[in-house]
Amino acid sequence: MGSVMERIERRFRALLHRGAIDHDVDSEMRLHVELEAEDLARTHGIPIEEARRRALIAFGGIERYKEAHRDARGVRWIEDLAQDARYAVRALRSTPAFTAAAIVSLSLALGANTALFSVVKTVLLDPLPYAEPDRVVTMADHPWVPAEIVLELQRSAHGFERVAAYYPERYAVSGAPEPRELEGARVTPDLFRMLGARMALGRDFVPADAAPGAPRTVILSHTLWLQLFDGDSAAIGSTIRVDDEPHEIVGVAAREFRLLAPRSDDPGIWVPFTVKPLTPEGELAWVIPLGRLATGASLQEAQSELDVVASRFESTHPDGEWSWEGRLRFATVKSELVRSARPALLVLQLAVGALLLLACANVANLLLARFSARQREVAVRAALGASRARLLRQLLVESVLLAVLGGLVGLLMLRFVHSAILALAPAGTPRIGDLATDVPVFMFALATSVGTGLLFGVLPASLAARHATYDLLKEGGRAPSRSSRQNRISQLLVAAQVALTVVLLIVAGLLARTFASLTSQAPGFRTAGVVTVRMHVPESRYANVPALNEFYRRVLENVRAIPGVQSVALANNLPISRGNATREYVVAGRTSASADVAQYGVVSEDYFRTLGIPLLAGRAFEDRDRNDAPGVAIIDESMQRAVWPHEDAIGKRFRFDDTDDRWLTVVGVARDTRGSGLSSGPRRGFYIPYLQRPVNHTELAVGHDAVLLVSSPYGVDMLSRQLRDAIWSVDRAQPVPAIATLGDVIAAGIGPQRFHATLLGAFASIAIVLVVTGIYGVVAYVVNERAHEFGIRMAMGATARDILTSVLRWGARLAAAGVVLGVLVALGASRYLTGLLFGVTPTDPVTVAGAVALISVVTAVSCLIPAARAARTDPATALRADGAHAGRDTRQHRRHVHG
Amino acid sequence: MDDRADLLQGTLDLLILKTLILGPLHGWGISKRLRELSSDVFDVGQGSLYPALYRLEDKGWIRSEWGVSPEGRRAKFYTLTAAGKKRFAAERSQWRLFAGAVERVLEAT
Repeated sequence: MGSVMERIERRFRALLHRGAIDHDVDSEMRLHVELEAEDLARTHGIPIEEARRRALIAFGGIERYKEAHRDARGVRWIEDLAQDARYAVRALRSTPAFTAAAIVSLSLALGANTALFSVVKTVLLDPLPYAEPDRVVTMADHPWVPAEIVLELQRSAHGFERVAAYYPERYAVSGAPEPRELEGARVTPDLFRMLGARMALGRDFVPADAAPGAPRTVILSHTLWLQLFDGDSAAIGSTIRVDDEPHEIVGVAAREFRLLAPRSDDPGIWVPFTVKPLTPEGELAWVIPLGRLATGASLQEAQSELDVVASRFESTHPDGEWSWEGRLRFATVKSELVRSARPALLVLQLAVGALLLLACANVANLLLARFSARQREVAVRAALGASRARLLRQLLVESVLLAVLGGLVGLLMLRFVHSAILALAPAGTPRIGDLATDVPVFMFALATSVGTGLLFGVLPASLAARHATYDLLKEGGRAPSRSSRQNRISQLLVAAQVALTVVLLIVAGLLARTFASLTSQAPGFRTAGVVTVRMHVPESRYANVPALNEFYRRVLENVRAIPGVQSVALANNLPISRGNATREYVVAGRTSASADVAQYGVVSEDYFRTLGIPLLAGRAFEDRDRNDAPGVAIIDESMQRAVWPHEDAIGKRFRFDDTDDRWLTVVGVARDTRGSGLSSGPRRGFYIPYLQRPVNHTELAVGHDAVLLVSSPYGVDMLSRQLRDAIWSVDRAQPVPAIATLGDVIAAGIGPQRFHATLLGAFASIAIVLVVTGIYGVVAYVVNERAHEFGIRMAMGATARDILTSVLRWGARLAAAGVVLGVLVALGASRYLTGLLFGVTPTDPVTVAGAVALISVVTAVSCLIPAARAARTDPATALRADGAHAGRDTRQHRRHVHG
Repeated sequence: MDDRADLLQGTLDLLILKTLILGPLHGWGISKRLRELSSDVFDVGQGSLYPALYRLEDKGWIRSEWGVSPEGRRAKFYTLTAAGKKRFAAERSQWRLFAGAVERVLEAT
């Protein structure tokens, strides 16, 4: 018996060389007939012509044996399929309008699905670049824990193979072409080994690297290595200045490695450290733990060990030193990374799924009309012996081919969609930078295309194959009209489309209103014409307060001197994230059991003027509010209301709670501003002059992190060069990383909402395009079928207007069921959206009404053209038309249905 | 063909293999030899012969090659392969077992 490979090879050869083989068979058969004839002539003594005739009769049709031959070769089904495909291509090419409409519908829906799949795959599905990533755990919800807990886990936990830790920091890295500020982290030397990360170059950290007094070492991310050294391996062993200290580069991480960095193209830099329970200042040190579960250990076992360690910590430390709500919990890194992205992606997935169904309904409807127009052809084929299965398969091949073409067009658009997504995706979307059209994405596109083709094709095809009866042939060549069953199905499909569109419109509307209500939130300060510069000033360079103050003073002076700069201020935080810094305070002359918390800003004197924050009472900070002058503060309205509701706050005194700092006298009251993003309201807060900041609190900025706020009519493009020069003329080594308008910074803060609203808006628009085609097709078809009836009605006195309204009313009835269903579904499901909404309820009546109004207009517009045609019916023509005439009319209009 | 025996299903393969045991033959030669060997009892219709040949070839029991026939014509010659010889032996013993059993049943009194 021939080996399997030989047989496969033979089949391929048979398939590829079909022509040659047929020729072979041909000559073999002819030889047979020839020899038979000669034999007959010889043995029976008859003339050779007669013998040949008999031989041929005995042989039968040569063609039949060629078929038998192919069947025997076992390639029949492939050839049939190829034949079906060729036939389908021909059929599709003969109706370009239909084909184009179907492919456009499908490419929109399939493209959206493929694009979203690639996002989901990148963000949620792709394995993290670690060894056995499912065993890598970190903290759930809140990443930071006291270093002591990590040390305790390292000592005693059995659930872990290894517990490493890190904390992110920003570093000033010197080097060509300009000093840069980079996201990096201090990592325990075993962190890379724990993650199973390899170095592309050089070596991993060793414990000695973190020992006190050891030479300073650093590992670069692959991206940074490429940027700084252009991929030169001489980087290993060379020195770069990190926060102004020379560090030896010992390693370059593998290209795919990231330490939970959200975007792959972000450069990173890592410095070794040893976990110590306290900071040099004697306060609790906090770190982010990252551990690998021991073989066979479960997350639950690790968790119960954490519970023990945490409760011991809680009992040995006073309340004020730590604060976490409930219980410290472990989670796998993966689940933690995707937690925030998941709900939104789920909504988007459902939305594109709905789009796909819409497109399916659309194409199914087009196919219903198309196949019923081809019933005669189908019947002829059936009469010639094509089996029902064969007919069904042939029609399905046509729809799958359509879907695959649509999918391909969708794939072609993917590149553009990806760049749009990258531009739109909110900052911090995990791993979105890795977005690519790779093999899994391609396979997904192919599989959904084929699946879609079968889904929308199977109903029309089975209907068409069922009606393939001989009766049709007897109808004297007239194309039959669709069965009422087919009409009902196509109307149901349209109603379902309307329902899906209404749901999408409502969801898109809710998200759009969320975005709108966020942007309409007045932050309480001016955002137009304000440029911000975030800076990290290396501690190593400016170790003492006077040096730092002098640096800031000179920078402010230089910036103020830039032409067109109206005012400039310094602050510890952007105004929109003022809530990042909070402090407890006590009010002079009051004893309260627990101190209250307020957000505070450390600002220079022109802060209120630069941001246009009105002072309601008192004065702004002035040049005289220096460190040696009496302590002053400006409080905001909320704090005035909370602390001195019925008194004049000016002249009152308060101070930070946990220090013996000086008392601060209130000199002014400022209008409230939003300090924790646009979605939360103002909270009480106060400001102090930056020269009077308490220097014993390291985290009390303006320490080494500061923001410059520059008010100028010129934009970022005009100013950034001058702003850099203003800073570099004070210190050439100071990185100036992020220059942006305040408006852009705030817009980035509502990036997720904008992303969701934009995507859903795009999906809803696609849905409308699809539903318009769907409604139009069905109404046009029905109008055409009823032309005769309209003619009679007009002959009996109905006006064009009557006909128009009757068609519109029919269309409205068709859509109404869909609208009702859609609204019900949307109202039922929209509460799952609550987490994504702001300033709008999930059942917002305005949104629902808007969606209903929009779909009504869309329905009316889609019905209008066919309705107008119905109204133009000439009664005489319509009535005379019968039989053949009606048939021709039907075909004419059916062509219209196709495109 | 009417007064001749219809071939039992499956025996055609065996008979074709048998004709080829004696050496390569082209299609017509096979049918002629079958006719001769069976004294004109088996006149295999070409409609059965050729599909059977292709099937056997597909299974790897015979192979084919174009050559020149004794009549001086280009013809496709079929040759038994090693697998085909084994197959023939197996089918032959199968057939003898079957035929013997049928014979015994019919001879029983």
